[in-house]
Amino acid sequence: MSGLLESVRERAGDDAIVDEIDRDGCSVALDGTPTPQVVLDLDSDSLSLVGRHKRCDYLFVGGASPDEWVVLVELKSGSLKVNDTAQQLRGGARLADTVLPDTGVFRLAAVVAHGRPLRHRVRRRLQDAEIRLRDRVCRPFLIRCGAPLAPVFVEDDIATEEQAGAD
Amino acid sequence: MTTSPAGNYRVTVRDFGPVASAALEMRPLTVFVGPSNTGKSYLATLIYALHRCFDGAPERTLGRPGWRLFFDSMPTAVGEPTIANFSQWVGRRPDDRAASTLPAEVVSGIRSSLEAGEGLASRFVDLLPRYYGTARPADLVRHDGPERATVELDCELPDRRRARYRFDFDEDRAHASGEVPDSFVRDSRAVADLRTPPSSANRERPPDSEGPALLEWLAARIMEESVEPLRGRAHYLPADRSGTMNAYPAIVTGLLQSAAATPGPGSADHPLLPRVSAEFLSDLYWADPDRTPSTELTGLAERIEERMLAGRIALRRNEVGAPRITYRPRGWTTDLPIARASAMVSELAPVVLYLRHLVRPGDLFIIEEPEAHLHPAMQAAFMRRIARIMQAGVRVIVTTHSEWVMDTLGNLVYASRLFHDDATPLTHENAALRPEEVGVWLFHRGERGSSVKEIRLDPEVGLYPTDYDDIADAIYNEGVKIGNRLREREES
Repeated sequence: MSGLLESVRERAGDDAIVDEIDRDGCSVALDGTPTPQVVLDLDSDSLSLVGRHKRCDYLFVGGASPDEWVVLVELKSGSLKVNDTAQQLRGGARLADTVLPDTGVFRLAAVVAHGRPLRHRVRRRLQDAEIRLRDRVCRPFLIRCGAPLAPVFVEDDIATEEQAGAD
Repeated sequence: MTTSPAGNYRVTVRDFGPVASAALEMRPLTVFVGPSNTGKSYLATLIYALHRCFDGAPERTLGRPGWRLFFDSMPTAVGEPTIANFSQWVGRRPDDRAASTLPAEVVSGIRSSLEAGEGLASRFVDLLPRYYGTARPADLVRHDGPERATVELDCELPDRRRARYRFDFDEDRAHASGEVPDSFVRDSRAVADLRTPPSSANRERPPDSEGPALLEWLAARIMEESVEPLRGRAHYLPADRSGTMNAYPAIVTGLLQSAAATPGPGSADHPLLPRVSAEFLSDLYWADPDRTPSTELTGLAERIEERMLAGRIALRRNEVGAPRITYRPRGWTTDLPIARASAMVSELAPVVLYLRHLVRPGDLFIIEEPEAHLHPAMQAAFMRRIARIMQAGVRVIVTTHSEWVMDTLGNLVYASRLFHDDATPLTHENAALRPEEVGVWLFHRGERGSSVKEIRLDPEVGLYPTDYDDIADAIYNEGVKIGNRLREREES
C-alpha cells in the first residue's frame, strides 16, 4: 500500500472507511476506478479531526504511485446550488488536507453527481468554481447519479457523437 | 381562456418502422424528443396520416341523409330482415316511444362492420404506406426480424367509454379492425340525427331499397364520431420546409399531385414523393390568400411577423393563378421573393401562412424541428408562440433536438405552479401551460429498435429530464479536462 493510502487509513480511522458511494438516493459506481483505493465518508462521526464545517460527502483516494488520485465527491439528488456545492467541495479539500501525508504527489479531482437536470447557468458558474488542495487546483466534473466514476480518471474521453446519434 | 382541442387519444405501435414499441397519449401539446434516427418523425407522420384519413372526410362525402355514399359496401353482417326493420324504425316519429332505441340487430350489424375493418379503417391501411413513400405494407414493418407491424388507436369517448381500432401490416397485406361499445352506437349523434331530421314532422318510412344507404351512412357517422379527437384537419410542416420553400416556385404542383397519387412502390426512375411533403406543398399552393379562418390564429401570425421576422409575409397569386410567397422587411417598399430572404424567414414563412390561411381551432398542427435555422433567442420565442397556438385550440405536435426549446417548454409548464394554488385561470397573458395539457415523449435507441417513454417535468428545477443533460455534462467535462491539461502545461 502506498504512503498516501496508509496515511489516509491511519489518520481517518477504519470507521470512516466505506466501500460504496451512496447517499439519499444518489450513488456513484466505483467499477474501473484506480486501485488500491480507500473511500472515506466525510460525514462519519469518527472524523473528529476538524470542526463540523461544510464538506462534501466522500473522499476517494486510489491508484498506484506515481499515478495516485485524490477525488472529492459531492452527491446531489436534489437541486444543485453552485455556491453551496463549491463550499462543500472546498470544505472536503480542507478535510482531505488533514488526512493526507504531509508530502507526496497526487492528482486532484472534484466530482459532483447530480440527480436532476441542470440549467445552463449552473454549468457555467460551476466552471468558475476552483477547488484547491495544497498546490493543486481543479474544477468540478459533472456526472449523473448512478453513473460510474471511472471516466474522471481518463484523459481523453468524449462520447458525444455516439450519445447524440448520427444525423 | 384556454381552449383545448377535443379529447385525448392513445396510439400504440409495435415493430412499426424504426420503433420497437411505443404507447403515446396524445395531449393538446405533444413533444417528441430524443436522438436522431429513433422514429420521432415516423410516429409524427403516423399521427398525421390518422388525422388526414379521418379528418372531416365524411362531411365532404356524406352530408346529411340524402345520401352520397362513403362506404364501399354494406356492413357485412346486416341482412334484408334487418334492413326492413331499420327502415321501419327510421320512418317512425321521434316521439314514438316504441322507436326510441335503435334495433338491436342494427347495433350488432354496425359493430360487426367495425370489427371487420370496413369503411374508414380499411381506407387507412391502404393509405398509410403512401405517407412513407411506398405502397407496400411490408415496408412499414421493423426491418430486423418481426413479421408484422401493429398500430392501435384508442379514443376517449364520453362517459369513460373507449373506441379501439387496430391495424396490422405484414408481407403484402394490411388489415383493420375496430370496436366501439353498443351503448355508444345507440347514444351516437348520428342516431339522434336520424331521429330528428329537418322534416321529422312529416316523415315517412323510406323504401327498403334506401335502407342500405341509410345504414351505411349511419355506420360511417358512428365511426367518425368514435374517432372524434382525430377529426381536426391535420397540417404538417416538415423539417426541410426551409429548403422546400426556396424550391417552391420551381415546382409544378400538378406534377406533385400526380406523384403523390401514383400507385406502386416507386423506382429510381419515378420515385414517389412522400405524401407529407406533397401535401405541404399542395396546402401552400391551394391556400386561399383571402381566407382567414381564425382571427386569433391570424393575430398570432402577425405577432410572429412583428416580433420575430420584423417584416410581412404575403401570399399572392399571379395572373395565371400560381401562388407567390414574398417577404417585405419592415420599412421596405418592395417585396423580396422568399428564396432571397434569410433562412429564418423561409423557416417561419410557412408557419405564418398556415396560421393565417389554413389552420383552424380543433386542427392538428405538426411542426418538425421548430429550432431549425433559429438563434436560441428565437427558438425560445417560437416555443412560446407554439404554446399560444395550442392555447388557441389547435392540437400541436413538435419534434425537437433543441435544449432551448425544451427549457422554454419547461418554464411554461413550471409557471403553471404560480397559478395553481389560487386556481387562477391560465390566460394568454401569462402563457403558462398546465402539466396535463403537455406530453413529452423521450425516444431511446435500443438494440432491437427504438422505445419511447413519457418524461415529466422535474418539479424542483422546472426542467424535463431529456438526454441533453448527458451531452451537456460530457461537453462540460471535456472543457474541464482541457483546462486541467493547460494548467499542468503552464506549471511544468
